[in-house]
Amino acid sequence: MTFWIISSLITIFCIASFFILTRKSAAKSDNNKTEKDKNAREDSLTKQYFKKSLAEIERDMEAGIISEEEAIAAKGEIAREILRLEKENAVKNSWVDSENGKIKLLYIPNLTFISSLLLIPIIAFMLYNILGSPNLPSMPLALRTNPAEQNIGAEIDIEEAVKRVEEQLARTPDDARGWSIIAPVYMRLQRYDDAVNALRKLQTLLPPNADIETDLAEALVMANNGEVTKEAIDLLKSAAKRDPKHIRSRVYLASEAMRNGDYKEAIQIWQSLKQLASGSEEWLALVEEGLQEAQANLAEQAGNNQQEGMGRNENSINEKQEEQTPPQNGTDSQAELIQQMVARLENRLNEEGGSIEEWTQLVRSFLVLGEKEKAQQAYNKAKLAYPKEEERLEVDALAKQAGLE
Amino acid sequence: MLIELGHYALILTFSIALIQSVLGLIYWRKDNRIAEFVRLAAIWQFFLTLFSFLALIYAFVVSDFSLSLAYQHSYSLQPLIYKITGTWGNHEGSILLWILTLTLFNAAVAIFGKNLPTQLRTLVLSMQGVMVVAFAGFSIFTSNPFARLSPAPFEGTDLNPILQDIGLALHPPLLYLGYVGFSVCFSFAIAALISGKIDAVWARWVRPWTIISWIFLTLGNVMGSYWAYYELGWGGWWFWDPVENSSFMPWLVGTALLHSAIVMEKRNALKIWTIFLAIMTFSLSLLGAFLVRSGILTSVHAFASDPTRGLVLLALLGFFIGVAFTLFALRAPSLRAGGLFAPISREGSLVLNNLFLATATAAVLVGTLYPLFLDALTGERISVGAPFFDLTFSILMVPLLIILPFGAFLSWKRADLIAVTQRLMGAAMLALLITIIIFMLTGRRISLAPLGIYLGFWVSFGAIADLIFRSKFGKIPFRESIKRLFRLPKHIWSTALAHLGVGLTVIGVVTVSAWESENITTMQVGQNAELAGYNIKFTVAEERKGPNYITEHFEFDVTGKNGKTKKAVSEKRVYVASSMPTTEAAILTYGLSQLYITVGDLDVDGARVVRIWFKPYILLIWFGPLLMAGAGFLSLSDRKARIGIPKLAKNRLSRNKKVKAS
Repeated sequence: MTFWIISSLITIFCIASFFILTRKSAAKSDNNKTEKDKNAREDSLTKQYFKKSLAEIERDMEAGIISEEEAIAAKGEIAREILRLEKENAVKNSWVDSENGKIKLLYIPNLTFISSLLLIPIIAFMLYNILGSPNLPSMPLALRTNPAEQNIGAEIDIEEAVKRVEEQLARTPDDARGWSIIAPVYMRLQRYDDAVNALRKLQTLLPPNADIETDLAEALVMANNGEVTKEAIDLLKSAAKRDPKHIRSRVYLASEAMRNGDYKEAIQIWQSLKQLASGSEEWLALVEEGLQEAQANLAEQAGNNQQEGMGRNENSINEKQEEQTPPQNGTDSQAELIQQMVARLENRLNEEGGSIEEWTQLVRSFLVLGEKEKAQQAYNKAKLAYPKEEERLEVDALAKQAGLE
Repeated sequence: MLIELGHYALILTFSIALIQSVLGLIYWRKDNRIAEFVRLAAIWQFFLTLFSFLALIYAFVVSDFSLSLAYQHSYSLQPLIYKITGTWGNHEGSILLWILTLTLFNAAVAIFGKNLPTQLRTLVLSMQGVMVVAFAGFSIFTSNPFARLSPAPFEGTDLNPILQDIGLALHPPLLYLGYVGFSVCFSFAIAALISGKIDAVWARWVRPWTIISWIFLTLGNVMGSYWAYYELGWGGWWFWDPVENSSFMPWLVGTALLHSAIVMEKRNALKIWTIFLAIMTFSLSLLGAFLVRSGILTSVHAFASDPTRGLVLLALLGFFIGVAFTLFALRAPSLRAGGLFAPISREGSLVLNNLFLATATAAVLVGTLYPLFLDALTGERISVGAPFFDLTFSILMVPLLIILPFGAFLSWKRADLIAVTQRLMGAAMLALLITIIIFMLTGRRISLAPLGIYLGFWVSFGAIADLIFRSKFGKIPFRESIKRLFRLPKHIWSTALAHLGVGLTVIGVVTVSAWESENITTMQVGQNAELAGYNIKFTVAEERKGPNYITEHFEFDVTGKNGKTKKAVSEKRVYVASSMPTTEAAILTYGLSQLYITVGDLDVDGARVVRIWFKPYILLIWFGPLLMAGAGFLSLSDRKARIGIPKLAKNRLSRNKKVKAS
C-alpha cells in the first residue's frame, strides 16, 4: 500500500508541475506575442553574439594578441555574416506571413495538452502493473538473520548448501569440521576430485587417522575411474597399520589382493578380519564369502600350476587363466581395464542416459575393441536418444566410417 | 519497496519521455507552453532516473538478492566499492547508467539552454526524448535491471573478478558520458535538419558539446586501455580487439567532428559536413553498443549474449541511422554551406585532418566488421588482426601527423604556406637533431622507429613552436614575450597542449613498440633475474586470503640502475564464489618507463614461470591523451565569442595601407 501511495504522489507531483509551471508561458504566448516578436528575439540572440565577437576583437587588439590588420579582416567577416543574416531574415519573414493561418493551427489546445499529460500516468501504471512486483518486499542480507526459518517448506537445495559451506571454508580454511562435513557430500555428488582435495586438507589439519586415510584412498580410487593407485594402497596399508582394529581399510586391502590374484595375502587379511569380529557384524558375511573364494581360488591356482607343469589339458589352462589368473603383462591388463570401463559406461548410459559425446565414446570404444555388433547396438540407442541429426554429427560420421547402419 | 519505487521511476521516465517527444516533435514550431513542458520533462526525467539508479545501487550495497541483478553480479563479501561498481558492471545496470547519463545531459541542455532559440531547444530536447524512450524502453522490456527473484537466494554469484577493479568504477561512466554526449550533438544535427536553420548560435552550442563528449570519450578510452594493461596481465595496452575498435571509431570521428566544429564556429563553414560527422559519431557509438551487447563478439564486455536484445539494438541502430540519413538526404542540399576559403588555409588543413581521420575510421570499421560479415554470409571464420590495423592505420596517420603542425600555424581563410614552413623549420630541425642524438646515444639499429620518433617530436615541437611564435619570442624583449605567452587566449593554449599530447602519445607508442624488452624465465624464491639493467629478486611466495578471494602472493625486490631497491607485488587470485582466477601484475614505475612482472603456474620442480617486461616510456601513451583531455577542458573554459581571423586578401591589404598613408 505504501508503495502505491508514494508512487502516486510522485506521479501527481510530476503531472501537476507540468500543468501549473507551463501555464505562465502559455499565457505569455497567448498574450498577442506575434511571430515577428519571436523572430526578433532570435535575431537579437544572433546579433548579441556578433556584438560580443566585435567586442572580443577590440579587446584582443588592445591586448596586442592580434594586429590591427587582423582586426580589420575579422571585423569584415562579421559584417559579411550580419549582412547575410539580414537578407535571410527578410526572406523568412515574408514566408512566415504568407503561411500565418497554417501556423496558428499548431497552437496546442488546452484539452489536448491535459489529455496528453493524463496519458503519462496511465501508461506508467499500466506498464508497471505488467512488469513490476509491488508486493515483494526488499530483502537486504542484514535483515535475513535466520535463513533456515525462511526456508521451511522449501526444498533444500544441496548445491546451494554445498556452496555455502564452501564459502565458509574459503573464509576459514582451517576449519577441520567443515572439511569433514563436506567430504562425504562431495563423494555423494560424485565430485571425487573435490573430495580428494577436502580429505587431503583434513589430513594436514588433523593428527594421522585411519578413517581419513581410508576415505582418501576411496576418493582417490573413484577420482581415477576405479583404478587403484599406489598412493591409495599405501594409504590403506598405513591405515591398517595405524589401527590394528580398523575394518574398512582391511576389507579394501583384501579385495585388492583378490583382484591381483594374491590369494595367500587375501586369505591372511580375511582371517585377521574374522578374528576382529565379535560375531554379529554385518560385514562378517562378506568376510566369510571372501575367505572361501580366496581359498578355492588358491586351490585351483595350485592345481593349474601342477597341470601346467605336466603339460596337459591346455584348453582348460587357457580358459582358467583367462578367468582367474592375474594378468601377466601390461597389454592384457590394459585391455581388461578398458573393457571394464566400457562396460561401466555402457551400463550407465543404458540406465541413466547421457550426453551425445558419451554415446559417441561408447560406439568408438566398441569399434576399437572390435565388437562391431555391440557398437551397432550402441549406435542404435544413441540414435534413439538423440533423434536430431545435427546433434550427432560426430557419431554419424564414425558409424559411416565403420560401416554401421 | 525501494527497488519497486526505482522500477516505477524508470517506467515513469519512459512514459514522460514518450509524451514529451511526441508533443515536442509535433508542436516544436510555435507553442511556448509545449516548449516549457519539454524543458521541464527533461529535468524531471533526470531526477526520476537518478532515483531509480540510486535505488539499484542501494539494493547492491545491502546485498538484496531478491533483486535478480544483484544475485547475478554481487556477493555479500565483496568490498563496498565493488558492490557499488557492480551495479553497472553488467548489461542491465550499464544500460540504466546510459539512460542516467542521457537524462543528465538533457537536463543540462534544459537548464543551461535558456539562451538557445526556443524552437531549436525544443527540437533538440524532443529528439533526446526519443532517445530516452528508445533506451528506457529497451531497458524495461528486454533487459530490466529491476527483475526480482522470489524466494530470494541467500548468496550472490559474485561480480566477474576482472571487473572488480577501480578502473571499472570509472571506465564505463566516462565512456558513457562520451557516447551520450555525442547523442546531444546528434540531436542538434537532427534539429538543424528539421528546422533548416544553422546559424551562429547553433554552431556555438554544438562545439562545447562536442568537446565535452570528446573529453569523456578520451578519458574513458585511456582508462579502458590502462585497465586492460594492468588487469588482464598480458602487458599489452591496445589489441585492436573489436570491442576496443568500437569505442575507438567514435573517438576518431569525434576528433574529426571536434575540428570541423571549430571551423564551423569560427568561420561559419563546413556546416553540412559537421552535421554529417555529428550523425556518424553517434551512429558509431550505437554500433559499438550493438557489437558489444548483441553477443556477436566474445570479450569481457560482451555481458549480454542474448540474440533478442541484439535484434532490438540493431532495430534501434537502424531506426536512428535511417531517420538521420533520410533527413540528411532530404534537407542537406537546402542548407547553406557557409564561408568560402582557399585550399591552403587553416580550414583547408582541418579538412585534410578530417579526411584522414574519416578514412582511418573507415579502415578500422572495415577491419572490424569484415570478419563478422564474412562469417554471417559464408560461415568462414577469419580474424583481422593487429598487422592489418597497424599497417593501414599508421599509413593514414603519418600524413596526418606531418600536416598537423602546419594546421595550427596557417591563418584562416587564406594563408601563406611558405611563410609557415619557414617558421616551422626550427621545430623540424630540432626534432631531427633530437631523433639523431637518441639513436646515436642508444645505438639502436635502423628501422621504422626513427621515423616514428621523428614524427612524435615534430608534432610536439610544432605545438610548442606555435606558442613561441605567437608570443613573439626573439622579436620583442624577452620579458614581454613571457607576459604575452601567459596572456595568449586559452584556446591557443589548448590547441598547443592537445597537439603536444598527440606528439607525446606517438613517441610513447613508438618507443614501447620498438624497444620493449622481455624476459621469460623460471624462478624459485631467492633467485635473481636481469632485464634492461634491472635486477629482479624473487623474495616471497605464499598463500593469502583476501575479502572474497584466496591468492598466491609473490614479492620481488627490484634493484634499479641507481642502486635503489623497490618492492613489487604480484598476485594470482582465485575468487571464491565464481572460482575464477585473475592475475594482478606487479608494476613498478621508473620515470615514464615501467617494469611489468607476472607470475605463472608452478613448474614441476617448484619453480615459477616469471614474465618480466621492460616498457620504455610507456606512460607517455596514457599521459598524451590525458593532456589532450585537459586541453579540452581548457578550451571549454574559453567561451568568449571569437571569430576565426582571416588573412586579408593581398590587394585589399595594399589598399588599406594606401588609405592609411594618405
